[in-house]
Amino acid sequence: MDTTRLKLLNLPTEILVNILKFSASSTSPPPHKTLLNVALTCSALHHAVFCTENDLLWREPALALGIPESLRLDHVLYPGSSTLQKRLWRNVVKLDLAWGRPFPAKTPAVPKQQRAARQLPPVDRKGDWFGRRVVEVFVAGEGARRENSYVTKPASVRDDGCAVFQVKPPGGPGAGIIPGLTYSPLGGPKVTCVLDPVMGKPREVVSGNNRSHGWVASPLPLLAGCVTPFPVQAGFVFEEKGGEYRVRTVDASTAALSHSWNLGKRKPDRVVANGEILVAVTYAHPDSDSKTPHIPSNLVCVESFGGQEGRSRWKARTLASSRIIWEFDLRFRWAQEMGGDTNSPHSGFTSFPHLKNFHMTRTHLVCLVTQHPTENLGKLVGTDFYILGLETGGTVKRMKFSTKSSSILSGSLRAAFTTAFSHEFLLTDTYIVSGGAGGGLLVWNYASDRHEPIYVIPDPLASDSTRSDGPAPSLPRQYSALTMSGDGRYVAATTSDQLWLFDMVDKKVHAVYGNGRKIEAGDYYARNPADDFPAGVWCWWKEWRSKRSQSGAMIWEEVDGSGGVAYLTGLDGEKRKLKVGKLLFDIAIGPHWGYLALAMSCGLYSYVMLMMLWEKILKYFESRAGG
Amino acid sequence: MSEIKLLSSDQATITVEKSVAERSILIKNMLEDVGEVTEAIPIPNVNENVLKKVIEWCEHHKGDPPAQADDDSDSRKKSSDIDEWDQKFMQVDQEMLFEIILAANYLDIKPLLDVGCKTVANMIKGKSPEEIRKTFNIQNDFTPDEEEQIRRENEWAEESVPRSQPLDIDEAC
Repeated sequence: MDTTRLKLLNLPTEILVNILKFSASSTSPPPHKTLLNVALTCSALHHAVFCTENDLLWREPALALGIPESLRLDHVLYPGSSTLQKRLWRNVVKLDLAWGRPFPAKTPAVPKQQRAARQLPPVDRKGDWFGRRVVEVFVAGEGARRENSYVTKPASVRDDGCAVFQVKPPGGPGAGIIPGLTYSPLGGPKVTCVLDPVMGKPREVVSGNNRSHGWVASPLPLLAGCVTPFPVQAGFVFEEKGGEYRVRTVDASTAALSHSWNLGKRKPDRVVANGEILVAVTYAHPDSDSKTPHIPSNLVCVESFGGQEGRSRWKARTLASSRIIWEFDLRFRWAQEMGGDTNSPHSGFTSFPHLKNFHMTRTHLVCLVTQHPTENLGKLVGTDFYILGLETGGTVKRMKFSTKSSSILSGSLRAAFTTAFSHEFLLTDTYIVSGGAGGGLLVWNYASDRHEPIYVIPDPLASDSTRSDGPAPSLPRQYSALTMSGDGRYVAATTSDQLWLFDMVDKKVHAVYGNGRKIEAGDYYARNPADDFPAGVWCWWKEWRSKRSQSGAMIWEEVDGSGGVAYLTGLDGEKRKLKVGKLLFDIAIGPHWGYLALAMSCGLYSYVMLMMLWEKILKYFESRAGG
Repeated sequence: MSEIKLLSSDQATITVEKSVAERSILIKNMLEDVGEVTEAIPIPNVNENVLKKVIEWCEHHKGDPPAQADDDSDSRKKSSDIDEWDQKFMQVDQEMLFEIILAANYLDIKPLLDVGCKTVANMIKGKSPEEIRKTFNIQNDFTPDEEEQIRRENEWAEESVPRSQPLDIDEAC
């Protein structure tokens, strides 16, 4: 009798899983390879490794790839599974490994450009339909500056398949070439909306109600010398009461405000949040003796507890509590850290750090920081990523944009120009995607020992065969926006007329969509040509249907060939007052107002002529009677 | 110094110091429940040879701090963290190794269970599927088609860019 075989495979499952957990605990060989080798041994061990109930086995390989040990599965930013699917450590490992692989060296094949739909089609509810439609990618497209523009929150698996965005009226913040740099009093208030792709129409988030207790929406950020547009503030509402400020987030599933962070008298400039934690860059506290109160340089990390606004007046007052976790003035702390870098040739000119953009995970805050000799921001002498531990605010790593990074994209005439500041950078729990030299996209692994980009997402615009008009491109096109699909598999980049989807798992251009905008040859490189094409939102949606798995559990399955990309315009919410008179006029007269005006003129002329004739007749009879 | 008696599954009686026996959470809880016992405590799932080995381990580790029930720290998971004495102690044939693991699980001696599991894990690490089969005398019950399919499904773990594949797997079992 084969007793040895019986002993191993007949061990109780919890012991077998414990053994496998230990076997996946070393760094060499990589833990995921050990588990896969075990799975290839026999069907029983394959089941033990891949069974969903034993998914915790895959946490060790995830940690080995750089996922922080304190991170819970439901806190992973991009889990490798869609909104409707169960989160698994196995998918986190799979996605993380895929992200670490570089793109093939050869020029990527560009698929045939498809035309984006103009609206979301109605959901097909025929038959035994029991499905869902969820937003996978959501990103704003720039357009005519005289019309509404949009600011989008990136699609997230936490948003229940919906998307959050802000509508900005013309003339307000964002009327300039770079949104947020200018502000005109002509601009009306920004409106925050939630788009449910099943309904197809956005719902406006009501920012004030009878439980607001005097808090009023604040039109922040106002004009300031060094306000930058990133990170975008869609999904946040700033409120003010008696010189104090608080920030609230939008719950996409209810289209209502949820968490609340009180900042006291610190006037916020820009914020990011993850769960209950918010990090804000604010102006100095008015009670402090800051010499530059006009510069937002106070970095503060705030925790909200009991952030959901209560149902009663009493609860609303007491539940929305906040706690400052750490706070410092980045102008002093980071300037000291920069000054300590004596190897830098610019060490004497880096006394002013400027926070260009920042994003956070549950464990880290990643800041894109430029270095300048003075607060005028005139001369750029360095660009760094600062990785901060979220618990203390201390710098755990710095990664420099190399001045030699132009060599990454050789052959570009504008290779020395960095586009790191012209759009968002993307953040996962281990990777960063940022702009780079000459319009390229760089991928960094901040969880590893590397301090430079690990690879470049190849620039397909140079080989874009969809654009045959005009001269051969000698300058790189610039992406105007950058975002990621909710599951973390696709990086989406937009130009003025196209949406590019990069598959970070299969390492290829997944698809390219056009919105129908006609780009003149001279505007080919402009981020937003000055034409009348409307601003809109790129929306990639997918359809899902529920089914029973082999184990009998209900799971969601993507419907093959369903979904698509739409470029949505005119998204200004449903909350509008109905003007009955205007509506009737539009229905009755509509485009025929010209005929109406002609008819009214003719009628008036006839009336005047008749009246004159009548007067003459009366005078005639009066003279006859008098004579 | 009080002693207690343990009765193995093959009816052998072994006398052991109470403090040593109390390394087993099962026995410790039992003694706390029933108080003083003069009769041998039956251990029906463990034979004499294995019970002696377990007691040997308990005697060597009787001064160790008690293991925390929720101890899931990083050090616990490192399979290389086996001290020298334990490594020598676990140099037994596979059948005895698995018996010790089962006994440690039954008697609720977590540190011994971990040492046993780590020892088996070390026998797995760095080995190819074929070597694992050979080490544990496991029959490959995959058909060639199944084996090929599994290899294809796991191409994502390779260094090179794999063929197009779905990323998300909701249910594998």
